[in-house]
Amino acid sequence: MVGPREVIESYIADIAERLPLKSRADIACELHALLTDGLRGRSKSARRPADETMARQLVSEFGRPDDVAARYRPAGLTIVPPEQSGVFLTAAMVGVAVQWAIGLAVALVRIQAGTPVPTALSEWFVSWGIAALWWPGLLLACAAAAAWLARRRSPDSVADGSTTGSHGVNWTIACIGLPLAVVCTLFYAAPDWFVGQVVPADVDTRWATYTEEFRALRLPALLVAMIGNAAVLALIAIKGSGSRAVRRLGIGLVLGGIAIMTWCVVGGAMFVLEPVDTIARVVLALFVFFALIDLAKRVAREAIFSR
Amino acid sequence: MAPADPIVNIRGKVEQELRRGVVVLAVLSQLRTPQYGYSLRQALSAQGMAIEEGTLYPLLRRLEAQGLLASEWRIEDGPPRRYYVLSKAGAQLQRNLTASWANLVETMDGILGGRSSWLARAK
Repeated sequence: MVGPREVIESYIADIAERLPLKSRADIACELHALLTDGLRGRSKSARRPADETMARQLVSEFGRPDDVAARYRPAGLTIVPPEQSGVFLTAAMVGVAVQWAIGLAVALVRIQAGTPVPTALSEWFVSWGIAALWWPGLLLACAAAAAWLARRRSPDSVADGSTTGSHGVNWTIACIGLPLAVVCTLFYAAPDWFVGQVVPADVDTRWATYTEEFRALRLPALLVAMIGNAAVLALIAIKGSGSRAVRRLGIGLVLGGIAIMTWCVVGGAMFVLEPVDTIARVVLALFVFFALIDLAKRVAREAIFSR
Repeated sequence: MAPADPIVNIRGKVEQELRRGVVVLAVLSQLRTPQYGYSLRQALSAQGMAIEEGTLYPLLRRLEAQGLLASEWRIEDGPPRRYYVLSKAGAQLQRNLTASWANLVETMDGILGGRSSWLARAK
């Protein structure tokens, strides 16, 4: 048989060990005073001295130590807001699937070249298979950075301390657009190096080599446009695209990007190997096409805002 | 075992959300003068706003962490207790929330067809 005081002290000790060290002693002291008051109140209402049963009922109604400690803890960081989890999962799965598909295509080529199927598949698994997981990792890191920024910009809500929503941070741009822009910039900066990182060492990567002329003249301009685009995306992700200055900066960058990409397409060979060069220029021409659509939308939107 | 009535479940949840929205205002309104957790709970309960201890006490600390309340330990008529009172920001928020609440009640009165009408329907 234990006394009511022991029940309360044991309960508080259970809660305290789940609390952050910094606030543990203070919360435990306050809980002790509150529960003691509560027990005294019950004893008065029941017109009998407090006993073990009364104390157990009090702590049982107060809540499980885990739940009580959770209520006292500061709200955790919501890395992926619930309304964005679908987009996050889709982006993560599509990114991994694309890499696996490319890796399997490489494995197929190797099988056709005489590599035994188990060897090609095991090589695919340890190279493309596992390595493809860098993409969800990058998305998660960007989401964590966006959530951290959101927390800094908007403290916990008053009512329940929760942090739902993106607090003005453009989550899709922060977690998908920005990583994609960074990866594309890295790829265009040094495609031979980039490809060398993701394919087995014995795969020839010379096809991803730029011509000297492109590397010296057009590539730096293209990289400046891509880095500028990534910087504006970061700005929009954090500050939003509401300000006129950011919107006009975006239009200027898209315009500049279209000019530079067109120069890259029509200005001569980009890659040493002709088939690769043709594919690369067609892809870049497609980018120009989509950038023109984007530019038209932006200009139309700006015209509406200016009215 | 009979399945739980979905209407009862939904009603419980919606009522909980309704209450959650006003708990902060109810707490702030009582802290123009210093109170400790237990006395605050009793005061709210006496006015028909019973709040679970496990909800109220952590809320007080959160409001304090947000700069809306100030607190100090005092020994008055019993063991040491932590007393909470509105800070300047808390007092301002309480005024703002009270105005919002008044607007909301007026709006809802209109939507529900006047106070006497909806009170009669609720009975």
